[in-house]
Amino acid sequence: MRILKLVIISLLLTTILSCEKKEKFNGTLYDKPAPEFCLKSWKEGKEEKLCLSDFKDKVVLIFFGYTHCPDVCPAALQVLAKTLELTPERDRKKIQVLFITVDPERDTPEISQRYAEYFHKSFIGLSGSSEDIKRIAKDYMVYYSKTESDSKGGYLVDHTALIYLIHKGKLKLIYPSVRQKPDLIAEDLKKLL
Amino acid sequence: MGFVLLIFTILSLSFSQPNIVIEDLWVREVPPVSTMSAAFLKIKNTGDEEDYLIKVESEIAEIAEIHISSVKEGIIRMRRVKEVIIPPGQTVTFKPMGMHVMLINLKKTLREGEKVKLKFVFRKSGSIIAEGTVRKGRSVR
Ligand SMILES: [Cu+2]
Repeated sequence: MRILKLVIISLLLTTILSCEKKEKFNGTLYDKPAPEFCLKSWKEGKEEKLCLSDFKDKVVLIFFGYTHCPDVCPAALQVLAKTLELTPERDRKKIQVLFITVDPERDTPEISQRYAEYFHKSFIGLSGSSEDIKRIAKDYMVYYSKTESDSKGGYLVDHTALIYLIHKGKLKLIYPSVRQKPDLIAEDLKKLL
Repeated sequence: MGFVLLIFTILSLSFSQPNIVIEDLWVREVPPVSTMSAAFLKIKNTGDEEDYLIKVESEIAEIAEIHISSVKEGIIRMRRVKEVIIPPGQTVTFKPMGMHVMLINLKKTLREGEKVKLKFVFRKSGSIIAEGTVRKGRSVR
């Protein structure tokens, strides 16, 4: 009888523990309301207003970058494209990747869109006025700063390269600027979808 | 004494020198709308004296510069570097999130699998032309 009790208790414990495990994510849990924003997209040859709230039913992955960035930004967008590939096809429709430029001076909505869709046809590239970008960046704790360097390629932009995951109106998870792994993000998506 | 010095000079001239080998050169494929890319490679010095990479040139871009990316407190910075020392017996690796050759104002669209030639100029060894491949790059950093 005592043994049976022990078995039941240990079974209960493992169930509770495994339930808790389900809430564990690879990304850093943030879980606060996602600030709303509206920016300019490029659709069928013209600019179109697009807001975060347009994707209420989807999990949104956001990356802030700029197209003159040859190293970190392509790598991050490749990570996101790979993440989609790792997700079962029926779930892909429920995911939207947004690329937001922090260099609106050079990246128009058209350039941002053409840059983003190169990595995956479903990706959306966004731009806007310098003021809009500044405000959204602040809301999302994105740091970026133009630096006048002696590079002949014009100014460079120092920036954070976090990936944000938005789910049900909440900024749920944040992935760090470096060592972003598609399999880990895909694992988190699987839990949320 | 003069004789010894002369011998020493001859010896050092004939034996003490850098020997630069360039390996694993690749250029990142970027969206056609982007005018910038980066090249990554390994520079090996099998000689017994240091050398310095002072310049890079390429037919595919108007400008090629030596850059270094670094990350501190989550902020990624990219800066130009004037020269890079290649110590004897060592390999300096240009890799994503580290040093790279920044290719500015690309003259053509780079497609995965294409061959690309870059000219590397060293202070002592002079010019070395290396051929590399355009790649999508590693998805994991
Ligand atoms: Cu660079």
